[in-house]
Amino acid sequence: MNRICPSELVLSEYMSGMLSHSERETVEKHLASCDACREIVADTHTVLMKMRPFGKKSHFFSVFTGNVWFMGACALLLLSFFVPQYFVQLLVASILAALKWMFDSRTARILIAVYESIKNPSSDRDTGKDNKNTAKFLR
Amino acid sequence: MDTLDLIKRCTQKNHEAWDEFIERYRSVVVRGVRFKLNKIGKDVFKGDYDDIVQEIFMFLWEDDRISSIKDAACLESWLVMVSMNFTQNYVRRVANRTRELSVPLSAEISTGAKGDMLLLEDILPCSRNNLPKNIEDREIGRIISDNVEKLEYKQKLAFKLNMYERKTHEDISDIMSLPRNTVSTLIRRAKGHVRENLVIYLNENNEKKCL
Repeated sequence: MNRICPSELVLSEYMSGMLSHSERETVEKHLASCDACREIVADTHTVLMKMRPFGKKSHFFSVFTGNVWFMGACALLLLSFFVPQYFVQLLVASILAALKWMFDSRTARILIAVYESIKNPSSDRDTGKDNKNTAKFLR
Repeated sequence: MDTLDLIKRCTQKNHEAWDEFIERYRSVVVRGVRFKLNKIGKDVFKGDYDDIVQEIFMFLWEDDRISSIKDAACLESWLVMVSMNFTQNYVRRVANRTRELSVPLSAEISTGAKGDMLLLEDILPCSRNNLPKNIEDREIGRIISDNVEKLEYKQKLAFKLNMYERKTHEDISDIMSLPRNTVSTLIRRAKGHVRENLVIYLNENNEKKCL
């Protein structure tokens, strides 16, 4: 363990993403081995998140903003039923929007992950909150 | 007033600027202090918020520490860190002064019935009652820790933030400035590595028990 801990200023610059690549690497290597500094960073993050009015990004809105093409495809599909004279055109537009959504790299990754989880249902799922039982061994 | 201008004027010991600085960032310092006190669980000091906050601002004023801030973006996180560290030192300082108030485990406690006396260590719950399980848990803990230390530093940091500090993947991606998916991958790989080695140990252990 590196005994010389970085100053609060360096740690806050790290948290604000203001350090260069090599400096970040040095700080991260230190944080990976220094419990006290890691705790300070984690606690500071918790306090800052509590201070923000919308501390954690709202998952509800991120679903809409992150899937614009999917939402567009749904809207066009709905619209096609209300405007029957342009049904085919709107349906085609809806399919194109859906394809665009599907081939978006992020969605493609999600679809691949869903396919893999269906294929291997026994594989573990990381939720980030499943650590209560394991954590007791780690201290 | 711009934050950097405010800091510059504060370093010049401008009283008006300091008043504004305190007014603007008092809530940040209070939150840092409150969080640390709640975490330490020192109920005694919960009424001392104002004193600690005042001491922190005095400390910033006297030592001119604020002059080290070069960018406004890191000011809030820096203030939170300083206030948490200061609170910890304050608690330690006061605790040292009142150390003689603590009771040794060998102290005798009256049970109230006919003057019977018991030792404090006999009354307090002790983990020694479950010794074999405790040893096994500790051994597993040691194996996990050893394997965690062998991980690549990014994996190790993400894993420790997730498992030790109970941070979600989203929080970790925020701290490490990495995409959430990358963080999930780092943690999954780290867990996989630790799990593999743990399974090997448990299998070996079971074989030994069977023999």
